[in-house]
Amino acid sequence: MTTLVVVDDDAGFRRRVRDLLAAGGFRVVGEAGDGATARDVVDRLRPEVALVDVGLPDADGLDLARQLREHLAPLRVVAMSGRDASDFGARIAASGATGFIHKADLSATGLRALLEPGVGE
Amino acid sequence: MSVGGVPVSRQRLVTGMAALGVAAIVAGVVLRWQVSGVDLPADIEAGPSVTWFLGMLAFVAAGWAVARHQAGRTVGWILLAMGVAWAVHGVGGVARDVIVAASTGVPAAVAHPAMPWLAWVWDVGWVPGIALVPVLLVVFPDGRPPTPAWRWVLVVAGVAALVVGISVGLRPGPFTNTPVDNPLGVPALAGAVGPLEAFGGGGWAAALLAGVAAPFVRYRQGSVLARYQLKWFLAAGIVILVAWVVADILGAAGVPTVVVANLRVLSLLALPAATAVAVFRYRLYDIDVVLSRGLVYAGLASLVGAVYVGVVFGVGALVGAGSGANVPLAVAATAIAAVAFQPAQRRLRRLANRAVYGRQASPYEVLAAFTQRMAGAYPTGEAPGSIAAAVGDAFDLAGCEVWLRAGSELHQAATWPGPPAGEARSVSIRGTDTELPGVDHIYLVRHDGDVRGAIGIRLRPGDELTSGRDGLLRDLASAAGLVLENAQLVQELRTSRQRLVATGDEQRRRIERDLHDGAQQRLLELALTLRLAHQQALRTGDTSMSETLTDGERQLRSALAELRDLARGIHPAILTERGLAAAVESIADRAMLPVTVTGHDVPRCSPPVEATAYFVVAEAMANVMKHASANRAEVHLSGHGEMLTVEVRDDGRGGADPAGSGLGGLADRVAAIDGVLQVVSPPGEGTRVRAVLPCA
Repeated sequence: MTTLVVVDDDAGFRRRVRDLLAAGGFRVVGEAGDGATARDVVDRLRPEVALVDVGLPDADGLDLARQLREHLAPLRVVAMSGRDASDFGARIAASGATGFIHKADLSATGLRALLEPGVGE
Repeated sequence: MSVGGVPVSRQRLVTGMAALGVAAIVAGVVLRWQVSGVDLPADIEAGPSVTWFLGMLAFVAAGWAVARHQAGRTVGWILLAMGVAWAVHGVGGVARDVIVAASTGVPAAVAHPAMPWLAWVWDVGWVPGIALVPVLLVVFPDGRPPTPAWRWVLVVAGVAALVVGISVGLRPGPFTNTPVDNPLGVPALAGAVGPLEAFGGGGWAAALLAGVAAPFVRYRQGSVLARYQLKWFLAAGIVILVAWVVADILGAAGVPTVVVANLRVLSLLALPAATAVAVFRYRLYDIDVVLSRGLVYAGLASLVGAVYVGVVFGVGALVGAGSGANVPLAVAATAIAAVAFQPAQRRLRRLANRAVYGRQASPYEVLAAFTQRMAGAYPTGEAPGSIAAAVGDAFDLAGCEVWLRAGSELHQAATWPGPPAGEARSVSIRGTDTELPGVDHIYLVRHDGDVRGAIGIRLRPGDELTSGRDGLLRDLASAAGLVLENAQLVQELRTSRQRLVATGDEQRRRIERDLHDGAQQRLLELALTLRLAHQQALRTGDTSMSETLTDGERQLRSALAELRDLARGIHPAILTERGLAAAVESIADRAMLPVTVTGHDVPRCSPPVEATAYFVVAEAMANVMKHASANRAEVHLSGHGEMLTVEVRDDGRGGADPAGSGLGGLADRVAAIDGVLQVVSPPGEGTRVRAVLPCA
C-alpha cells in the first residue's frame, strides 16, 4: 500500500482527502498544515508520496516540492491546487513534482494514474 | 600592486621612458650651450634652440604625469613619445653643430664618422612626433576613437608615417640640411622617394584634417565633462594657431628668426598643458573663463596693435616722417588706444561672453520666451521641466532645478540640463531660510502668499549673478506661481489616480485570494465529500443514490468553473505567477475563436502596468467574442525602450464605440498610469485596440 502525507493548510480539506484516498487504497501516514511542519513530518515518516498544496501559508508549494525532492529522495511529490495548471506553467515541471492535480479532480484513481502511468486506468 | 589604478610595472616603464627623454633633453641643452655664439656655415642647418628642448621637457613631463594616471594612459603615452622622439631628433641636430664647431672647416666636419648618423637622426627624427599629432587629436581625451569607424584615421596616419619614414630615411644621396650622404640611402629608391614622400605626406594631411574634425564630432555627442576636456584642447589649438600666424607675420616683418622660432615652440607648450588639465580635471571647468578672458585680451591686444601700427606707420608714411622714430605720433597712438580701451573692452567682453556662454537674452526676451513655453506646457503637466529649461536656457546657467511643494516639504520635480542625478530629493520648507542642496541661489515660488515650489539655480564657473539678473529671476519666480500651483495639482491628481489604480488592484487581488481560499475551498471540500459518498454508494450498490451524486458532482463542477472565471476576472493569478505573456496566452486559449499571440519576450513591468495590459487584452477579447462576429483575432505584445505596447486586432464587423462602458473604463485606467489607449474600429473593417503603457 502506497504511503502518503497530505500537505494543505485547510484541516477540513485534509480530512476529506485522507478519507477519500484511504478509501481508494492509499495509506495516509501523516498530515501537515504548512511547509515547516511538512518538512518535519516527511523527514520523520518517510512516505513514498507527498501530496502538496501549491499555496501554503508559509511557503510556495512548488518550492517546497523541490526542497523535499532534493533532500528526501526517492520521495515523489504531487502538486495540487484549486487553480489551473496553466497558472503555474513550466514551474510545475521545474519543481521536480511527478504531476499536478486540480483539487476538484482529486481521487484515488486519478492519483494512482499519475503515479503509475498505464496502471489502474 | 598598483598606484592610482595603474600597475607598478607600467609605472616603471613610463618613468623609464620619461628618464630617457629627460636625458636626451639635458644632453641637447648642454650641447647647444657649447655652440652658443658660434656661426655655422651656410650649408649646415642649425640644430634646435634651448627653448625647443625646454618645450620637449614640457611634453615629456606632461606625458609622464598623464600616462601614470589610469584615465590618461594612451594620451600620456602619445605625449611622452612625441617629447622623447623630438628630443632625440634635436640632440642629433645640435650634436652635428658641435662637431662642425670643433672641426676646421666643413669638409673636416663631414668626414667625422658620427656625422652621417647624426644628420640622419636630425633629418628623419621629426617623423614619429609629427605622425602622432593626428592620433592624439583622434583619441583625446579617453584614449579611444570617438566611434570605431575613426580607427581608419589611425590606420591612415600609421601607414602615412611609415611611408614618409621610409622615403625620408632611405633616400639616397646628401641630406638637405647637412652636406653628407645618407648612410642608410638605398640607391634603388632614388626615383621612388619623391612620389612616396608625396603620397605619405598626402595621407598624413588627410589624417590630420580628419583628426581636427574628431574633437568637434566628440564635442557634439559628448557629455558635459568631455565637452570641457575638449574645450581645453580647443583652446590649446587656438593658442598654437594664433602663435604660428603671429610668428609668420613677425617673420615677414623682419623680427629675428630666433624670436619667431621661440614663439612657435612656446605656443606648443599649450598642448601638453591643456592635455594635463583635461585628464587631471584640475580647474577643468575654468576653461570658459580662460576662453572668454583670452578672447577679450586677444581682441584688445589686436586693437591696440592695429591702432599703434596704423597711426605710427600709416600716418607716418602719409606725412613723410621716414623710418625714424616719431615721438609725437607714438604719443598720439598711445592716447587713441587708451581712450578706445574702456569701451572696446566692454564691447569685447559682451561679444566674448556671447561666444563662450551662448546668447544672453534681454530681460524682455527672457520673459516672452518663458510665457510662451509655459503656455505650451500648461495642459501636459510638464510645467516643472519647462520652467527649468526656460530659466536655464535664458540665463545660460550651469544648472536649474524646479521643486514642488508636497505637504510641508519641497520635492525635486525637474532638473536642467540633464535628468536628476540619483534619487529625487526632498527638503523641508522653512520660509526664506529654505535651502536646496547643491544650488547657488534659490527663488521661492509663491501663489496667494503660500509657497508652491522653488527654483534653484547653479551658475557657471566665473559667472556672477548681477542685480539685474537677480531681479529678473525674482520676477520669473512670481510669474511661475500660478503655473507651479497647477503643476502641483496635476501632480497630486496623477499620484492619486495611480494610487487608486494600485489600491484597486490590491483589493482585487485580495478578493480573488479570499474567493480562492474561502468559498472555492469549501466547494472543493464538498466535491471530495460527494466523491467519497459516490464511491460508498457504488460499493453498497445503491444505483439511484449513485446517479443523484453524479448529478451533484456535475453541478458542483460547473459551479466551481464559474467561480474560477469570476475570480480570474477579478484578478488573474497567472499574471502574478507567470507574467503578462502567459496570462495573455491563457486568454487566447479560452477564446471561442482562433487567436494568434505574438511577442512573448516582453519585459516584466510593475504590477499595475501588467494588470492594465492584461485587462486591455481581456476586455478587447471579450468584446471580440460578444460583438465583433470575427473569424479570428491577433494579440501582439511588444516592449520598446521603456514602453509596453499591447494590441488586439480582429477581422470582425468593426464599429465599436470607444466610449462604451468597457473601453471607456479601460481608457481611464490606462490614462491613470500615463498610458494611451487607442481604438480604431471603422465599420466593416475590424477593430484594433492598442494600449501604449510606460513600463514603470
